Amino acid sequence: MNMAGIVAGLRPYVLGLAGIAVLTAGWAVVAAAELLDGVPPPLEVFSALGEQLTGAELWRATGHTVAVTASATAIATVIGVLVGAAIGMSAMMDRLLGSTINTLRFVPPVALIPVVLLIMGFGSGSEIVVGTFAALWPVLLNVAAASREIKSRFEDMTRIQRLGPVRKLFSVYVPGTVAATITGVRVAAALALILVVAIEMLAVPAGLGHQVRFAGNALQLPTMYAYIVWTGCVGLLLNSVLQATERYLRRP
Amino acid sequence: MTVRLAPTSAGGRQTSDVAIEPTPEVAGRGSIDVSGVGYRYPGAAAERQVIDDLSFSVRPGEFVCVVGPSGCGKTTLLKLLSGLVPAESGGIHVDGVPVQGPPSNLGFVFQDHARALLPWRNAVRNVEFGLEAAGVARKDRRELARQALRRVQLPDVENLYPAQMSGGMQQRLQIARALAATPSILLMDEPFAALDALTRFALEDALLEVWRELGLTVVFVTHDLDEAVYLADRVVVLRRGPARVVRELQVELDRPRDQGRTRAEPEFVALRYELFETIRAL
Repeated sequence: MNMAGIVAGLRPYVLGLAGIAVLTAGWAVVAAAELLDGVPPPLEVFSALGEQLTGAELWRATGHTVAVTASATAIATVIGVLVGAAIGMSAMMDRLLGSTINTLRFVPPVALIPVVLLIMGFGSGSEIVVGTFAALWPVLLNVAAASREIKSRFEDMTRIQRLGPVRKLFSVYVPGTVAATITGVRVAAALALILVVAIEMLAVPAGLGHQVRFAGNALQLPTMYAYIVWTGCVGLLLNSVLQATERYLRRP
Repeated sequence: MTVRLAPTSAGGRQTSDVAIEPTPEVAGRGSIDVSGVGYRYPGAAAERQVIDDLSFSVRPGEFVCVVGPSGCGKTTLLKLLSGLVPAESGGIHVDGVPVQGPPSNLGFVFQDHARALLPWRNAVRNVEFGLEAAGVARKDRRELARQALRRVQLPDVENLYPAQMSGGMQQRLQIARALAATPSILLMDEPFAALDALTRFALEDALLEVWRELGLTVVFVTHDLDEAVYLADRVVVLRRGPARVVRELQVELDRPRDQGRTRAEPEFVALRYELFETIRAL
């Protein structure tokens, strides 16, 4: 491969990193000028992150948060696909569940945290429930909209072709809604991660959220920032994986 | 086996031509009989009579075009014929059997290919789609699909997806899918309306060739009077609000027809003029 090819190939990544570089530079200026209290310089934060990356604590916390987020996203996907498909494909189900869904989805998931903690205690179960509640809506609404679209678009055709219900589901609805579903899952995973980290910071003594708070309480500011940066990196990675899946499914 | 030539419920409406050519395969396959059919859109607010006391029949192997002012219920008529919507009154019989849902020997070509072709399947898999539902064995499907694609002059596009094909190619693909299931009746809802003139001519001729080779019964809805006269054995004229047959025009132009020659014939011009005046007077 020639040099120009390599440069052209790296171009999107270079542009993508430009924003982060500007942000870091601004951060360095603020820290160096001591404009704000409690902002350690980026170098200190990165060296703290490097330290954590070589230890076991960060990886254990990451494993916990990622596992809980993935569980919440998976449960939300199953429920969201089933309920979304039901209300998208059946006008009766839509009337039956529509108003309930529209009420529930405006309940802020954060508001559920105290309730869930009271009922389920301070463990992973509570994290999964709150994460699932946040992650459910993007999947459910995306699947419902896509199913509704497929239904109105192909209703006549599938009847002319005399498709049975099972074949109609697997040959038309599933392939017709899979791309919209994965888009919903991508948004859902991000919301689940945010809620999981939030509940870890507030109450559950595990995971990345707990590490942020723990380091903060111990006044280890560079470590606290290192965990915040790392949580962002985890989110970015999660999003990239799902985005690649989405692109693959949306190919012509 | 006896073949019922004139459906009992048709009330003697069947034309005499069926009796003249009682070839069993033909007489029993592809006749349509519509008698006294009425239909109104469901829903209290929008309810209005769309079709009222509509009657006509189509002989097996006949090419009938349906024309009429826009919004007169032409598409609704095709939906009734195909059993997509139930008639409110009167009777629709296909091969003497009352229509109670899409019959298996009926193909439908939709006006909008986006509502018919599956965008995630390539051309040959779109054709196979209809065969899968009909329960055709996997090994036969590919072969039947390829034959159907050749018939509509769409070879070499097997692996293209609908989005990679032109509008004309997508309509050919729709026709191929309908043909693969070996229907005896083809209902077509303004299938060429969105195409440019030259593409439309090519598709009209491709359709006529398929129709001649397979001996299909075709009911073709169009708003293009030239197209109706060019294609049809008979043109049925509907009036609007509620739809009813006001006129049936027999077209006796020689076949095979030719886009240049046929359209220049005095008889073509006269028929077209008559059709136009009939619709203008509505």
